[in-house]
Amino acid sequence: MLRVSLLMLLFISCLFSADIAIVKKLDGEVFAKRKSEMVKLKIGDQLQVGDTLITRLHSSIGVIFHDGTIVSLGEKSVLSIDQYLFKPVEKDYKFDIDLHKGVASFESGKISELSPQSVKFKVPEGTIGIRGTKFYVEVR
Amino acid sequence: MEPIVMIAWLGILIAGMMSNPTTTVVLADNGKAENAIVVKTKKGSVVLDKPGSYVSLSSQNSAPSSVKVMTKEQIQSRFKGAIASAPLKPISVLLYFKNDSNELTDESKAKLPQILKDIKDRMPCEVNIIGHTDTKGSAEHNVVLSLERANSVKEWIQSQSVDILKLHVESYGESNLLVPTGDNVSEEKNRRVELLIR
Repeated sequence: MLRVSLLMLLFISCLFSADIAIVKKLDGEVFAKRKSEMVKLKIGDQLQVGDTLITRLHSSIGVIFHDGTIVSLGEKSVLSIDQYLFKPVEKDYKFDIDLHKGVASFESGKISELSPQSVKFKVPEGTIGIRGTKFYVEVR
Repeated sequence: MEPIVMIAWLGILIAGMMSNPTTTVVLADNGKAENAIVVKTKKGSVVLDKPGSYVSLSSQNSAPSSVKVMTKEQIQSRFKGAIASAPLKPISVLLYFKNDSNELTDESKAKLPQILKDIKDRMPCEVNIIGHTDTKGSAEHNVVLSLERANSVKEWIQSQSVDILKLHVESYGESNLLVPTGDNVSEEKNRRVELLIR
């Protein structure tokens, strides 16, 4: 049993190291905190599960996830990608992102369409559940 | 009051003030009828279903505010950083194929120039190519056929000298019908490749 769950874990972590989103737009200085590293992002870069996006003053970023979800951030924002799984064949979906501060725009993609209950946009005070949607958030 | 208690109290007060961010969530117009979000704290939830409507949250332990409405101008100025950096929406296009073949129908061939333009407008760009078939023939044959369809589109894109970041090819065979039918049914709408250009 333990072995099975270890294997599962290994399998899951393999999935999770995969690319999940692409940086389409970027202005100024934007970083991804990845494990303990700070990676300076540029257009065309790929994001991974676990990345925390950090935009500096006068900086912004726009990304598209593999299911077509669009997320963009204004300046001085911090957003972490806690979970992302888009496996339409297996009907496996997960999407948890967390806006710690700043300004974000979210426009839903396939995951929200196929499995809206799998999408959770977190803010410090609570969560935003999605029903095929576009919205804006500001956390001060 | 003991000084140490005072300090502790002050600390709690300051921490209380600092850990009291206020979040504002506003529903934007997505151009569709289906558009709603549920904003939830531990103490309650509110559904926003009209573009421009918003709530604010003051803590996990208080319910969302009542629903208010923001004008387009207010939304634009408050969220401009995020709005300006939002990339163009991905596009999904369907290409149809001749019966039991990886050759495009003439109508779908005519769509190729626009598809190329959509790809160029979205550079740096990734494309998913997802092949499908109808239910005519065996399921095994259809897995192969849908992959051939996807690959023929892939080859076309690769011949267009656009610098695509990544091409993802998937093949669903007859397992994901656009028009639901029984088994062994020839249905032109199901003989397709879906392109997701993002």
